[in-house]
Amino acid sequence: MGNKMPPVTFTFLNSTIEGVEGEPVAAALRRAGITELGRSGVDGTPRSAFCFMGSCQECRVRIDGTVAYACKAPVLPNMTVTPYVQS
Amino acid sequence: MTQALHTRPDVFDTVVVGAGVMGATTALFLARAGQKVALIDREDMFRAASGVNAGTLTLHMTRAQLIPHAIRGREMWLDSANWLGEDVGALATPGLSMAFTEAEEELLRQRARVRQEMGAPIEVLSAKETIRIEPGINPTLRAAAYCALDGHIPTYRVGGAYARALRQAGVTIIENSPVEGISPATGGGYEVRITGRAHPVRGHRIVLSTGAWLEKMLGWLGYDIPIRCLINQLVVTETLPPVMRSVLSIANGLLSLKQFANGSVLIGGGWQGEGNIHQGGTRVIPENLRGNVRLAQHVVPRLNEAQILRVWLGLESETPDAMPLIGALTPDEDAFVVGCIHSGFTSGPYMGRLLAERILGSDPDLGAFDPTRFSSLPATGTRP
Amino acid sequence: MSSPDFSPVTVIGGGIAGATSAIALSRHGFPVTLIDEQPVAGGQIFRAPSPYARKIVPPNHEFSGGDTLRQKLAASNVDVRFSTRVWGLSPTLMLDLLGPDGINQLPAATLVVANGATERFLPFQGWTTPRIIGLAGASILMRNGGTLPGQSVVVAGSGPLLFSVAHQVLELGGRVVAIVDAGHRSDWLRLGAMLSLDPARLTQATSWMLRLKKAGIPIHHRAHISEAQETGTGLRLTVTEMDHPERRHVYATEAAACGYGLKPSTLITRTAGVQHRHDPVGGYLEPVTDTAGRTSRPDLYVTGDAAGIRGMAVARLRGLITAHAIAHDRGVISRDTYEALTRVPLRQRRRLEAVSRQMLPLMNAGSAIPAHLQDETIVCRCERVKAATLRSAIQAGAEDLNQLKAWTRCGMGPCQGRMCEDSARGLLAAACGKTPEEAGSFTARMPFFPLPLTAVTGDFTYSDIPLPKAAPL
Repeated sequence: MGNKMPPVTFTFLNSTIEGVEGEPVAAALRRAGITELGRSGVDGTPRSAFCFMGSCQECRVRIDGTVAYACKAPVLPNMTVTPYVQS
Repeated sequence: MTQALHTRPDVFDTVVVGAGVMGATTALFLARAGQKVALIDREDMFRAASGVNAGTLTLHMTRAQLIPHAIRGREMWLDSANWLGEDVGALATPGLSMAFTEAEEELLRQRARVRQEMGAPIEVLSAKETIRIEPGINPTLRAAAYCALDGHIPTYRVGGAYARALRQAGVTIIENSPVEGISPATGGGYEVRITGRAHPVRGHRIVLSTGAWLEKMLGWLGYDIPIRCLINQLVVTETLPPVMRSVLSIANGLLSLKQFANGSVLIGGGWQGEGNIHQGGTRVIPENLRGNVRLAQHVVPRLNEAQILRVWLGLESETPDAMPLIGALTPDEDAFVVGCIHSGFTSGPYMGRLLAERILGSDPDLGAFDPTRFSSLPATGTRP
Repeated sequence: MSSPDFSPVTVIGGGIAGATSAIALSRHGFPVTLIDEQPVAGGQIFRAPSPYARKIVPPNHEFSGGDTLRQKLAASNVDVRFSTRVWGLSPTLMLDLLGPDGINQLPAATLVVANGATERFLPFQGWTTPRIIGLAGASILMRNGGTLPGQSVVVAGSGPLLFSVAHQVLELGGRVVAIVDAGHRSDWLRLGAMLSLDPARLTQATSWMLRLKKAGIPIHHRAHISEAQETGTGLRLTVTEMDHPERRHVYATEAAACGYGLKPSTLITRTAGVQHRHDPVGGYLEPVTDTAGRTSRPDLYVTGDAAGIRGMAVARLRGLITAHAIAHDRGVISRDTYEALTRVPLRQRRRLEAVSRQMLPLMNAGSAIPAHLQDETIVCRCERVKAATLRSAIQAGAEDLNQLKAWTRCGMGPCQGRMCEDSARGLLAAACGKTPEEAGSFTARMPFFPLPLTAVTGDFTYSDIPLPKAAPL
């Protein structure tokens, strides 16, 4: 079914990810098998989208440098997503 | 943790009202000297000022006359493992006070000179020298005063360390107990009445260390000293990569900026919130939040990457001459006060210890802090 | 009837309750501003599906209901401000907003708070691994993102959302490994007996249960996940029975979704200073409201789940009733008109609420879990504070939630304590023999979420900064 929608690509760290324009970044990443969005600044363990409501703050990433919530921010063609907290 | 005061008509040697750094330190040293001590607070200990302030150890912001005390206070903080029994996480760093305009540079040089005379190891550096020490500073600065003896503490940790030390020393801690009156007891000493409790707490001696609430309580003992309550705004950011290692301030004293070991940056400096401590809470004034963080970002431009995590308010109290109140309130030497020390966190433990020593019979020089300087009323020999 | 007061009304939250209320207020003739953090209205339940999900997820009531709501809102005179979050407010109800154009302030003469619910989370050993997500979060990911949390999923926690999420996993072609419920089976039977009052829910629940049963999915009642171990390709989950801790079940799964019911979002109402109470059945703090959502402040109303969890169908009715009540309180409609307008919604609501209330104990079934957390379990996800650290601070005398926060950093991180408050409170209350109410709540602090510093500073020069006079020397 997904092939009826023209996929767009963006990069996360150094990988090219395919997604559908307008869907949440965290959803596209998860279908690509990526759950780890960054590392805890406290103990360096992985963090991910947890609450999907903008409460837990754990899915925050930088999209083209600006801090954004991966659970909400829409996929746009050619954007660059990097972790918010880098270990 | 409040003991069962409903039943025990205990008489304490000393009842300390106000559980912040000064009162708790006095209580601790009195108890270690063998006294039976109660320490009372209107809410949980260390919540109004001591555990929520910016935690700056600084000579730049200390009143010149108090520099010797601040140096001793700072030493105590750095040595807390030894006398308190626990390392509170004090870190010695340099302190830089900066000037960005000609007027600020003049103020900076003048203030540095006075503080040098009082024993602070402060020297004025050029912009170039300053940036070599602290590369993250805005290069448009004109000069900075450098002090080797500054530092900082994550203040939220201090209350827990004191709680363990006080308990070990046998101090009875009575929290969430607003004191509504203090009066002489028949047969000597005082009765301290607590809202909602049937029995007063009795002590042969009382110590008032209630900061912003001192005006009201001193009034019960016949003193009329207007105490100004400052409502200081504090801002903390989320963790950042290292952007500074010194404690940073500006010439007029209205900024304190530091980065803790975990990477979070604390922005303070005494920008005011609003509110009334006697009626309801305190609140942030958005314009002052903006001014405060603009100043911080001006000093360290890389703060533009920061996320503001939390804004809160901490209290500070000030006498009409902005000098502390430390000493006896009665000729019988059974009521004492300690408080209202400008930038008092740095010297707080030292001042609290001095009062304990005074109560225990030694004679430290507290002349400049004599509470009777504002009013001759109770010094004439009558007990309040 | 005094002369009508048509001064503006501000509504926070564009979910079912808020949007319904805003539309109705606008029809009464009030100028209405609606603030919502999402790019379009719908809240959590009626959240607009992503373009991908719209193709993948079978049509359902939430999509169609949300679309209808969005159409009605678009056709109304309501001034909507999307992608805008409230990060603070003053006692005069001056709202601090962060929107697409940065920060700004909006005075609210009358405020309707309809910011809904947040999920309650309870920790277990290993719960910070990325393979574990919230239960409501899993629902949003699947329903609105068309994406499975994993090909196989253990669904755990409490409340009706368990069965909804399990059903959604099957709908997207995933495998439900097990359902782990903290609630008593008998409470579910009692709820089932009441569902005749709510035919829509009855139909839905019956179809879910039949499908789950047909798939042969194990269901554990009075049980919880006690440990999750990452295996490299998935999780090894230990499920422990709450009344027989020696009885354990181990499952291998790719992902797990876990959440312990909903609670009202109270940051805004607490900051506004309205009276709150602890609801012992729901196990949460809620603002004290009357039937119409009036609070202890005459200029502030709370509607929908923000006033206590009653669910989607009730939220619509509440939104409507609150709007009519404001019209009445402002002299826009008479008492008789108010009664005529609310007679049917109030009757429907009473019937539906009987069912909703039966769900509260099921949602709150995990309330005993925090008391028994293992020492090594992380309670505060942001600051990675473990149960042992909390217990030692409590022993040192931190007997209030805010003191516990200060001494341990639990709740000091970027989520502002939203993830750990319930478990820290439960642990504290159990350790000192206090009620949850006595243990307290984290003081609400501005900003309500991490705020980019540059949003506050904006463009400025040094001379723009109003430097107060120098401190005394």
